[in-house]
Amino acid sequence: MKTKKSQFDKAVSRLSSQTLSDEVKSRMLDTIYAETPIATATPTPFVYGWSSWYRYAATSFVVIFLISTGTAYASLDSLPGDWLYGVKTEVLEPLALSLHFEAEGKNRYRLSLLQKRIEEVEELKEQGRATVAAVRINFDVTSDIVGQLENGAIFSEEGENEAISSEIRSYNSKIMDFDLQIDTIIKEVETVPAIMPTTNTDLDSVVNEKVEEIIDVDDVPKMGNVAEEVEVIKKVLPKTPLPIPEGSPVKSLSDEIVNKLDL
Amino acid sequence: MMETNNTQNKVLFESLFSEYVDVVYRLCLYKISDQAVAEDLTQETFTRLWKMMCNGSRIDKPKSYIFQIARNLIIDHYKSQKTLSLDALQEDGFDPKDKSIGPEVESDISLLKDSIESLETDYREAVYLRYVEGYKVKEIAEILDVSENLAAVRLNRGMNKLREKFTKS
Repeated sequence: MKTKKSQFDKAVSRLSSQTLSDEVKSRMLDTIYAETPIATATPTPFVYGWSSWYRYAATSFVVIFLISTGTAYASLDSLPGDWLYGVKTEVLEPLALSLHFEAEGKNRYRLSLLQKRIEEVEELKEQGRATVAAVRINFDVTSDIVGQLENGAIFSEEGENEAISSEIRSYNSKIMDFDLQIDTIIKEVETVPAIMPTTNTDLDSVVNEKVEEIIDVDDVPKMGNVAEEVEVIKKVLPKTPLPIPEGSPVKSLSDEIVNKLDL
Repeated sequence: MMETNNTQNKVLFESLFSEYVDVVYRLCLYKISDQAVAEDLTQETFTRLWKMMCNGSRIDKPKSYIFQIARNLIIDHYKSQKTLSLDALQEDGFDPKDKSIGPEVESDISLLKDSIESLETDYREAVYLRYVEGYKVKEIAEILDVSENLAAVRLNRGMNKLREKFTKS
């Protein structure tokens, strides 16, 4: 049943005006103190908010220590898998985030962190260090930032910032689509042997190159590990040549590799 | 030292009492629709707060804690009411009309409940605190013990849903 806005506002106004009289309030306080007299109170003072002060003090001490030992500066260029990476993502970046007091500033900073995570994976790849563990660390930190952005999509009391929300949804769906694509290819390779010999010494580099083409770091962060996927493919390399189903991504993969090997 | 600490506690407690006693009373009234019970629950809420303070317990978020106590007492009241039948109460001379609030306020509360309680659980409290108490997002977040952004999400979506329920007058 629909209600008139005017009726609702009137009801709100009347409820809002309901208060206790001073006499009732005074009687309440007397009763409360009678049940728990002040004289029996323990000496520990009631102070709220100290835990947050302790946290800030502890964090400040850690940061000062890190800066004074040069650790903080060294961590700025660290990559997933480096022992200083945790210092960067769990101490310095949250501290920098806390220096942005408005929601808009915090979200802009989070978006810059997302870009930084993408650049880190690209750097890992260039250095040949894109291991499963490193990429997963990167992915966990990235997911956390995306989660914060999803919760922080509101910039003000006026309403939801649809542009940011839309960007986050788009980013998330890219990650999910990409993850599904890689997962599908891996599963196909595991179940259907490719038509390729195992003895060609250039095979590793060819397969590696092909898998790297699938994982395009310019679009989204890496979801998997190139080296691991190469190993998976190599495991199912030819024991017995079997026909590969039409339309299978493995088929196109193996055809290209076959072409490159001039088989 | 002991007297100073007790005095500090008392000052702080009375400050919280002064600021929130009517807010808690209105919440209890909205939920229970019974003036006497709302007063009792309000008093019990602050009694428990005072006892916690006297025990030396650290309460980092007093606003959130006060509302949590009030909510729990309201739930306990509902549970206790289920075990009593109205017939049994009337046999003992209880007349529900004696303890009810005025018909106008009762009607107002009923209308508000029809609107607000039909929203999703997450949105109800935020909408109630905004409309009835006039709290801003920051205060709502403190009371509900959530981030400001999450409070704003709940509030905005709740208000949008609520507007859909209104007819054009």
